[in-house]
Amino acid sequence: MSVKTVREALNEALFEEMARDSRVIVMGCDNGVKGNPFGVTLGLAKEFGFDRVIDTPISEPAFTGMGVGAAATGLRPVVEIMFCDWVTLAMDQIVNMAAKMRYMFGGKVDMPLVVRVPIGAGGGQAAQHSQSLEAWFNHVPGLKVVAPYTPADCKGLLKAAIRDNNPVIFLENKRTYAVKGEVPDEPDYVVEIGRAALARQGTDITLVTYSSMVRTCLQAAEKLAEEGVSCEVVDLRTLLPLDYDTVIASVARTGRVVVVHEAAKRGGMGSDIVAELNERAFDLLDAPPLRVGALNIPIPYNAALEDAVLPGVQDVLDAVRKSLSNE
Amino acid sequence: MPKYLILPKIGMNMEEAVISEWLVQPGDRVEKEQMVVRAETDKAVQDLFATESGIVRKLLVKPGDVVPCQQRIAVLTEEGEDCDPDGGEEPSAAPPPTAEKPAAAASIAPAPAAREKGRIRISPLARKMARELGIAPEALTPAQPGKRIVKADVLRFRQRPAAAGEAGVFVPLSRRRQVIAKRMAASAGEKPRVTLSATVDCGELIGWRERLKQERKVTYNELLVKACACALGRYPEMNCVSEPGGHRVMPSVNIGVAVDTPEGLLVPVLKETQRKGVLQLAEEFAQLVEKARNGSLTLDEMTGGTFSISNLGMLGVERFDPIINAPECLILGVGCMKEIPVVVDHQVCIRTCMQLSLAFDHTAFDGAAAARLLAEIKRMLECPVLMLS
Repeated sequence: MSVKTVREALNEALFEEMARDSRVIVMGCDNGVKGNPFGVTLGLAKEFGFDRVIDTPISEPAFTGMGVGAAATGLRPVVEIMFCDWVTLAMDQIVNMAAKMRYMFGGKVDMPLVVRVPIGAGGGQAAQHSQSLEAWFNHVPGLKVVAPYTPADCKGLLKAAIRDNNPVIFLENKRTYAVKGEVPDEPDYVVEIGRAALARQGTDITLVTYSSMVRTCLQAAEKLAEEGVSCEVVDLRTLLPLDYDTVIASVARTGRVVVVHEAAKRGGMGSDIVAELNERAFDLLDAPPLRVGALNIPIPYNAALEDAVLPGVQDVLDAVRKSLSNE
Repeated sequence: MPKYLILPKIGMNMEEAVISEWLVQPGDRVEKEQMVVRAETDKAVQDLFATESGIVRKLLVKPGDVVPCQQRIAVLTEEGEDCDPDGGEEPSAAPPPTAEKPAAAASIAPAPAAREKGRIRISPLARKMARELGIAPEALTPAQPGKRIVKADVLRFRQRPAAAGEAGVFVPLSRRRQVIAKRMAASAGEKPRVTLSATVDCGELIGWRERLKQERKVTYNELLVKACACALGRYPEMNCVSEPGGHRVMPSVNIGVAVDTPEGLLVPVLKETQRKGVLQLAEEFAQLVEKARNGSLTLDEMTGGTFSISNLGMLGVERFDPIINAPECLILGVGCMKEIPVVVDHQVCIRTCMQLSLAFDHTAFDGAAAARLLAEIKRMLECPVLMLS
């Protein structure tokens, strides 16, 4: 084990997989010379050359389509959409091509494509550089969607995504790149896709969350512990397929649940998870399941307004208290 | 013309049922005899059949309703026929005049709180726990007025006896207890009952069981069942159930054995015991006990008895006076085995004995007949080889 940041863990995962398998290639805007704006692909081009680390023109549909074609014909591309907001441009390639080819061609095509999609707001990047659009991908049959938080999970899941023969949307939150944590050193360390983890054990209420909101929920849980409220925090890690066994087992222990995500609340992952719990775990619920998410408006540029729109520790505290109030 | 589905009476003792779930919905076509509704009857949850064929137009009862047998539960029409709007307006809460109003739990406790227009505000989890613990939701109160009833309130209710003040704690009858109470009170009130007692020397019986145990696990209950079946075989006219104005002698000796379960007393019935060996009885009884404990006994497995055995010996009871399980006319109460001094050939010696108490319905037969039956049961138990004769 060694302590690493999320940025370093992701970078290490790419290094290891490229060294392990010559079919793995990386492409995206500024991925090569610059090592991407956040440093995630830093050093890859120097090590593996510009044949395998491709600086693409600013055309998401073109280079995502290149990725789909490369994956269908035997390579294992890792495509980067620099900001999640622009994945709109590549949606046809992702939704109609990557997610569907295996099915349309009678299972004869593998689609080992990874699309890395940095999500998240904060720091005044405004409405077109701040979104978290994971709920769209959750709605598309044929995709896998992962959204890890800890450096160890980021590394293990990126490696698992690259080794997966199906298209995986890999969501990394820009505001978590500097988060530090212990990361296993073994070259074959991977984290299985589709398994949630307990970030904190508790008995009174379950907080179901992922990505940057794991940190927010852990902070809220810490505060609530001072008031004698014991929160269990489930870090989903994978959103599709979602590990309902772990979520329901936790709800069985606590009887109460709040789903927390940074994305807008309306139509978000929380809506889907709450609906599923109502169908599958109704008799385990001691209170209505609640959702915490961003306000249903575009993310403002103004820092104070942005802060007001995004969910924070106080919003989680409010939701937990509401659930426990039995109102 | 609209037709009606009625709640069928499927057991001798069935008088009403609590609707659990509809298996059909308005618009569905049902055929006579098709299972249409799930209901909690006397002692089991049963699927009940349609009494008519047609298209379901309107459901007249909903889950949770207590419905007397023969009451209308749904309106049917034929294809293309309109539903007569007045036909389905019979309110489900008003049973026909012949039916006695069930003592529903709702009428026992005053509505304390957490009610909104007659609906109780209770979480799904708390409702499920209350059901499992036999607590009527109406008896629960939220920690603060106006809040939802939650798991913690159910737990608080359970722990109340320890912390109760001088007023004590009112525990409403669960459905199971209501049925037990009603039937016991009816039997004790209607049947002139006399109990005869005898002491049985168990030496041979113990040895026989030890030998049988080499084949499979056998309890004294099965040996008692077999002995009673053999004894009733000698007096077949006593194998009967009471009916208005007389009693009906039954061809099969069906023996019920009282079983203690977490939710209360259940009496699964071993059928045609006169035809079965002890090992087969042991196997069937083990299955019935398992089903009784996990609540999966069917109505059929709990009805049709002609004789009952209640064995409290394992709890150290020496003798007791059981109430007859109506409409049966006989019940055997079994006490514990115990070493006692006995005079044999003018010598005092120690023998393992147990006391039997046979309660009988004096309407059906007299003391001498019952005494002869008890003597025959005692003879079988003291000399088990006679059961082969």
